[in-house]
Amino acid sequence: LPLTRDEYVTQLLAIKRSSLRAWVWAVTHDTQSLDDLSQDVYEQLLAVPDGEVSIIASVRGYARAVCRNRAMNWLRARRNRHSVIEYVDTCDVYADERQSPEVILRARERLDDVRYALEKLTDRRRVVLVLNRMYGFTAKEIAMQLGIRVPTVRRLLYDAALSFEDLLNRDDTAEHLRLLQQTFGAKE
Amino acid sequence: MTQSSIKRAAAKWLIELDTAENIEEHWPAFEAWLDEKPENRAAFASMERAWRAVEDLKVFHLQRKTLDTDPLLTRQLNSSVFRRSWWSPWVVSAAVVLLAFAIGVALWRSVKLTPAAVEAATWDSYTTDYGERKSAQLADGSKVELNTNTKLLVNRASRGREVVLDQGEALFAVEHDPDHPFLVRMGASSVQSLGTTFSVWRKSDSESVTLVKEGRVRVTSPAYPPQVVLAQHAATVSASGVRVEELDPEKVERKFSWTNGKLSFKGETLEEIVAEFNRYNRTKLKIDDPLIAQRRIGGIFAASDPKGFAELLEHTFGIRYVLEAPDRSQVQVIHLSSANH
Repeated sequence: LPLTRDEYVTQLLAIKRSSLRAWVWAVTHDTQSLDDLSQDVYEQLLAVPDGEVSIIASVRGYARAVCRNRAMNWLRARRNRHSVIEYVDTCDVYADERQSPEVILRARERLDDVRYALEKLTDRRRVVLVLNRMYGFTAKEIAMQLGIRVPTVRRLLYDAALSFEDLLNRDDTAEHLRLLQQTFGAKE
Repeated sequence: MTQSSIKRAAAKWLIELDTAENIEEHWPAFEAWLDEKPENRAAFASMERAWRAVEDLKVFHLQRKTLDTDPLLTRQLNSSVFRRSWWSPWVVSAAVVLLAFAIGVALWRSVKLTPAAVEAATWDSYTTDYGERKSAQLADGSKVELNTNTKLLVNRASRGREVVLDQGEALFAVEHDPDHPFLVRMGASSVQSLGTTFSVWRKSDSESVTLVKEGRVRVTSPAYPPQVVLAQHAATVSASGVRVEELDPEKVERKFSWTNGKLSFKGETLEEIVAEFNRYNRTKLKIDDPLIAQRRIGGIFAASDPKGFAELLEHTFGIRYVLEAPDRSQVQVIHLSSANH
């Protein structure tokens, strides 16, 4: 039977706010923006028109999808800010007229920092981190691919997170440039 | 709590949430930790920033790259960084146990042999591994063929007329000798024959199936009177009694198809066929979808090729299969499910 508005609101109120925040965070990985985004989601869910309410099969599933979509939009907006700083081949830079050269340079340096930190990780940690964060494989999929156990993958991700955060916040400029040239052929 | 322990806790939460199958379950505890003190929130935010930084690089890094060409991966994926070293703790433990056993045997042999030891020394052992078959001729001229994962002990003192089927299945072609009946023991029950061809499959400690191809045998079980089983008949001994049934010759032939390395079925359920394949292989078939378990299938398949069987199911019967990587004990599982799932 199609949902009535009252049933929809009742089921919506039964969903914990913490669940909405968890679903948003699973996409954004950003606790700073969590309250704003989950509030947006909640308002969006309450403002669903009656016509749409009647075609919702599961309020929980619908709420989850709204969270994911809102979080994806936030991510896209964030990525757009970075997309102007891509290297073309080795060192050419796309410059967006809306961005100042200083902003572009800062973002480029930040990307170099990330590349450097990745290169400094141990082989096992780097492979697991790249497969998870860049290629989007789950811990279970990585375990299957590498022939190791899921807890081992989790442990490697944990070690990678600790080392990576440490490396990103470390000032090691000379070593950094040498590694960049060696690995990616980037010019100074 | 020191700064580094806060960092470790933050990293732990990050990975726990990121790899959780149901993130909502963990979220209240996580938020409670986050609200405990500002340092927790700051450490977690820093960890998140690092995590997202890889995402930022992803947008550019993945352009023009695949898993095979990614310089961040190929070198490691092709090297041995994920291969287990031979001296893993399990291997070392096994070596220590073996060494202790060898020393024990050496010491035991140096002392006087007991009557029990003398008796133990009069048994010859024949074994096969998963998917393996083995033939042997016993001292009396009888022939025995061992099926997969089988252990058979032959009493030397009886000139091969008394054997113990410890596990698995064996086919016996017994030399005629009216003065010395041929005896196969399986725990408390036994099968006695004068000269015939029959197989015995010890399914478990309390259950066995005897299938007579030629001649006749007598099946004995402690709780029930002995039963004579004729050719083209099967006797199942279990806790509930001895059940004898007649089989048509075609079915008997199919039951013996393992002697050619084949498994032959005619209308058996997929559940039964999977159980049969799993007897022969370390790679296990597993039915994930109960809807397909009762589907009836027929055909002749190579006993040692469960993957080939799974492929055939996919092509012919619309049953999807997914190969799971071998686990620590090198057991590989092939999951079977309906193509609609």
